[in-house]
Amino acid sequence: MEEERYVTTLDDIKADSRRYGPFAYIATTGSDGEPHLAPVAVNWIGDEVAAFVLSNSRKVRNVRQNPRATVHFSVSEGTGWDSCIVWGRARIADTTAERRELWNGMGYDLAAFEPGGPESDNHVFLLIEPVRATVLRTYGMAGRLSWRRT
Amino acid sequence: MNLAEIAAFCTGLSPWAHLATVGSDGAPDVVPVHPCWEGDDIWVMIGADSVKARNTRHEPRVALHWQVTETGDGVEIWGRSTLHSDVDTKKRLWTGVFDYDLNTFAPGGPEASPDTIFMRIVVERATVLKAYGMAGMHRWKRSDT
Repeated sequence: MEEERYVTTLDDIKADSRRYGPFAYIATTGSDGEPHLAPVAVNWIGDEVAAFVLSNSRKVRNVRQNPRATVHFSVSEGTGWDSCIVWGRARIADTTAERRELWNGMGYDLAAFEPGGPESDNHVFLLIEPVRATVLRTYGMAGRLSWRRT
Repeated sequence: MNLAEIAAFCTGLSPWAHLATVGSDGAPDVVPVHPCWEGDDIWVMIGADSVKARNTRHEPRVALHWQVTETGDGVEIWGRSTLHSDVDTKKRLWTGVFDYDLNTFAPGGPEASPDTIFMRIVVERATVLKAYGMAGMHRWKRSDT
């Protein structure tokens, strides 16, 4: 169970994260310090992890008062029980101009969830700029890849 | 749904859950865990010096989300954690509580695995989502919290 460490790049992390499918779990911290987890569909837009979420959701409220967020991609037998975890700083893109710019970047039809289109204030984009990331191979027993913003 | 029914529902989901904790700096952390129920409590085998162990020594509140199935079923749990490293508790948990062989991860067994401890989560509230909520949502809250 010897652990190996590698210095990798954000592009390596992005490529690896795509193995786990579109679903991930975003952890945020509430104003009272309580952790919160939410399953979301995510995609990379540029170098940010993006999710299209309800404007009044708890994760959005949490990020507005504490921008620290962590993303954990889904785990499965199909990917050897590997894990990809991304820690970063989150922001909320909630203007019509921002939604228009990001609307076609998620890889699925957002209109199915928001018929009002990018003009609707019911949804926003939650964007996470990675600060560091780790890929654990088979729970970490088969090694890990690590990246940190310099 | 009562808590026993929620526990039964969880055991029919993925064996994996995502555990969120918060560090002393307010940063959330999330890792995969393989939780198991014992009555109304959830137990997780963890490393004594893991980030989640360090975090919960500072902030015992945790969130746990069972991995959502292909049909969209999932459970979110909020609870309060305590850490247990005594041999008596480890011996009791080692056989009969977990549905996998703990020796795979801690070959020394309960008496010779000082780096392995257990997190107990007392559930304070829970949300059950069926088919992403489209087939029903059930909320449960402990009455004394």
